[in-house]
Amino acid sequence: MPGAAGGARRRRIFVAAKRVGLSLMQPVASVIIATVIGGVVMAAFGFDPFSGYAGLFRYAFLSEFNFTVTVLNSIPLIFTGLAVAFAFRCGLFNIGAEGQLMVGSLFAGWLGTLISLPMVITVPLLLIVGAVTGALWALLPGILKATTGAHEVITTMMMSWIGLYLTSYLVKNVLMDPRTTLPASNLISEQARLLTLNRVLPFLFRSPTRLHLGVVLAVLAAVFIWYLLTRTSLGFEVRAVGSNPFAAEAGGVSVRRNVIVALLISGALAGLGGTVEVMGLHYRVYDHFSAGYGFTGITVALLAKNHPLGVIPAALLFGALTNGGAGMQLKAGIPIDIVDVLSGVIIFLVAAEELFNALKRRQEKRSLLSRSMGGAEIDGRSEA
Amino acid sequence: MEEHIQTSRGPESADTVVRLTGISKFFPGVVANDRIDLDLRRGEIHALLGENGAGKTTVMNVLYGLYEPDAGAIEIEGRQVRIPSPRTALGLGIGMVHQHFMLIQKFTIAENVVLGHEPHTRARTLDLREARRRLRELSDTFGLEVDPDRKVMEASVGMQQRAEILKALYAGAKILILDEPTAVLAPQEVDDLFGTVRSLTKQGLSIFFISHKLEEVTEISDRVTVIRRGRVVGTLDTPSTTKRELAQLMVGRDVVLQVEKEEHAAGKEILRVEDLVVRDQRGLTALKGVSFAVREGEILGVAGVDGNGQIELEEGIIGLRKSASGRILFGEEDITSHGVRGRIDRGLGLVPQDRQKRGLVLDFDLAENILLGNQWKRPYARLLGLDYDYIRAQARSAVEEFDVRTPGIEVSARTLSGGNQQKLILAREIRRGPRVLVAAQPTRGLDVGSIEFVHSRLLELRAKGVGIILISYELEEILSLADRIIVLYEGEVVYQVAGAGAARETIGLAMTGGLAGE
Repeated sequence: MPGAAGGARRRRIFVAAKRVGLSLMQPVASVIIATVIGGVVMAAFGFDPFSGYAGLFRYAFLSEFNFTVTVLNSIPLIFTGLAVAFAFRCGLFNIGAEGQLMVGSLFAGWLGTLISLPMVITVPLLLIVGAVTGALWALLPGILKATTGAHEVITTMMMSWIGLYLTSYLVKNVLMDPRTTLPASNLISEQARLLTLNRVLPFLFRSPTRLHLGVVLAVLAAVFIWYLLTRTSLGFEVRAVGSNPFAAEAGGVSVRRNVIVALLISGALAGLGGTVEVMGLHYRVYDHFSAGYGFTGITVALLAKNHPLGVIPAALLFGALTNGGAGMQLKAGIPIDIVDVLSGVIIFLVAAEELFNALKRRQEKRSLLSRSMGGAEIDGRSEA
Repeated sequence: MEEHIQTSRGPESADTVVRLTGISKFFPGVVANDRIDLDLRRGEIHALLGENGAGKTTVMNVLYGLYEPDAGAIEIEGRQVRIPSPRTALGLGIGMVHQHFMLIQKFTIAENVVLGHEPHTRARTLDLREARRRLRELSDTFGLEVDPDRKVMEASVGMQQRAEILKALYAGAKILILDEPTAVLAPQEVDDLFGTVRSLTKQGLSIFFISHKLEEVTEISDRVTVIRRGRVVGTLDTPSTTKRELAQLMVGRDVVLQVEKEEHAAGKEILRVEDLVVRDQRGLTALKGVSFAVREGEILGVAGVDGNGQIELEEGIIGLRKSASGRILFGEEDITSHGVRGRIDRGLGLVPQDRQKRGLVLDFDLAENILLGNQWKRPYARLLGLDYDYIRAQARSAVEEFDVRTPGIEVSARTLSGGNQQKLILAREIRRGPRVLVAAQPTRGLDVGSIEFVHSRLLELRAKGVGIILISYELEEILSLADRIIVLYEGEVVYQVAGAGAARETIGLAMTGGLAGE
């Protein structure tokens, strides 16, 4: 019966759309409320919130140049946001993405300064090296968690600092060009660089841009992670462990194995984020080039509610805030710190999920009351 | 549909201590209580009978101040009151003993009983001697025997329950709510409890007794109110009703009260456990060298009181817990070193005792819960990922075959009632086609209709030649289903008997340690 099957399909799409709509409600509401509060703060300090937000919006989105910078800012955040979100779905809090990112970029960048094979070989090779070294940086916390139960918040953080200072040391003492004072490696070879988008899609851009293929990779990574989580048995097991490890275990899922795998994939994503920055934007490994991408990734994942596709708009928002905030400071004289106020309030509101749930419950109760007046009978659920 | 039976005398004729009028309580997606009218007379035992999820506990939680009703009025001793918290309830003389005890494990029984109303010395420090003295006084008055200085974690379940009752009495309860008090007790302990409850009413207490067991309701109560789907369907004088009538009211249709088991010969041995030693969470030896075998088409009943190694047996067989020593043979093959997945692949299945923790991922939808334990197998899994069309089709047919009441397979397992959650687990485990099924407490907390359903499914499997290990704390269930019975006591098999001709008294004695060491 094709008609019935089509009906079921439509129904499923409707249910899915409703779910997406509902889950978007909270993050969107958080951003709106944060905007209002940020405006009040601006006004309280004697700034005009309307011209402030106008400036922020203009410098974040209006004009080709501004928009490309916003997107450029969001590329590493997409990767780190994915890294944190993926681990979260397995019930793990990877707060060491910053170190994994630096370590990944260091080894990929290092290799990039050494080899000059054709681009079709060099680019994938470097990406793999960045992902693998980033993953390795998360391996130890994974093993420790799986075998001894050592908490990953502690161990990923410790590994992160080790990674940061290790890269810093290697950059300044091994990779640094002795003829300069710049604390950075040599440039990576031409073949190791990601093309800028105006070279790939010249018709889209009026002027040369720094925006590079990394943005395509970031979006592909998000789609891939989404597919992995929702359509494969690996993703299913990861989510099962994250949601109820006891039932997962009884369903033949190895909790230990999945904990390690989830942290490896998380580390690989963070490593890729750093590698893409080096290959697409800096063309060399600077000492401490990451502007806290690993930490902002936590916020991005939180705002995205750990949904891989939600990470993209969330990263874009934070990319826009940094970019627009700088413009706002420059042109309207409103301190960039207001941006931190905004992101702080956003985090606070997203984390205050209970508040939203309570509001939702009240609403449900009201609709239920009106329904029960209509005499609908509902099967009782288990007594609390 | 409005069949409201009122055979008992009007409440005006007796001394009414509690009157609930039109109590309604809503939860998201559920009407838990729908205009419930209920009254309690002084000195009576009033049973609340109903299926799981019928709303019995909810209405009592309203009376105890745990929930505020969305509509309706409460009168205590003829005075209208509002009960926003258990503290208010206690102040009004209402005490409640929950199904799961609310005691502090590391405190002694005396400390637990006085908690919240601790006696002080003149120096305003805790007067434990006075606490013990008052506890003993209460204990003597009501015939509730406890050891005041024993820590709760070291006390038997029966003693913990008595402590809970004493706690309510100490707080001044005149009205006592007992929520499924027999669920955790051994048969002998149930008799003791019933004796206690009767003596409490002689001292002037009035008791609400929540249960879904017809047997005990007819034995203990003076009146019984049947609740179905959040509504009162009838209040009857217990002596003038029958179990059949109550069962009918409870589920709204006729039910078969006796399991009809057909005779058939068991096949060859399919699972053998030899000297199995398994440690518990704390590393203590919980299963001390257990041996038994199950044959194809046989139900092996494992009787025993909760906490005598049942969890360790269940998890040891399926591979969730490593065995410290001993062997498990599946047919000819030694599977002791295999993990859960290897054992599932060979044809072992588990209906776990803790269905919400072990059985389901509550936040996953029904389809993904059906997938659990199949996710590595074709045709669920393909080269490039899971086949969700196939999975959904499987889930739909599972839901239909096992009559899981749900608006659809897209809802989370959390939204199902306990009985339907259990049906979902059974559907998954049975449709996998197991050769050995470990069913631990498969009907705990289920209503009559669901129990009947689960039992007939287990018997169907038995007829198909599946070996079944039925672990249950309900002796009744084991006696009616099992072909052979073993009794676990303190991690050892203390008694074995063929199912037919098993003496209930002997098994009861074995369960409580009366046969240990013989």
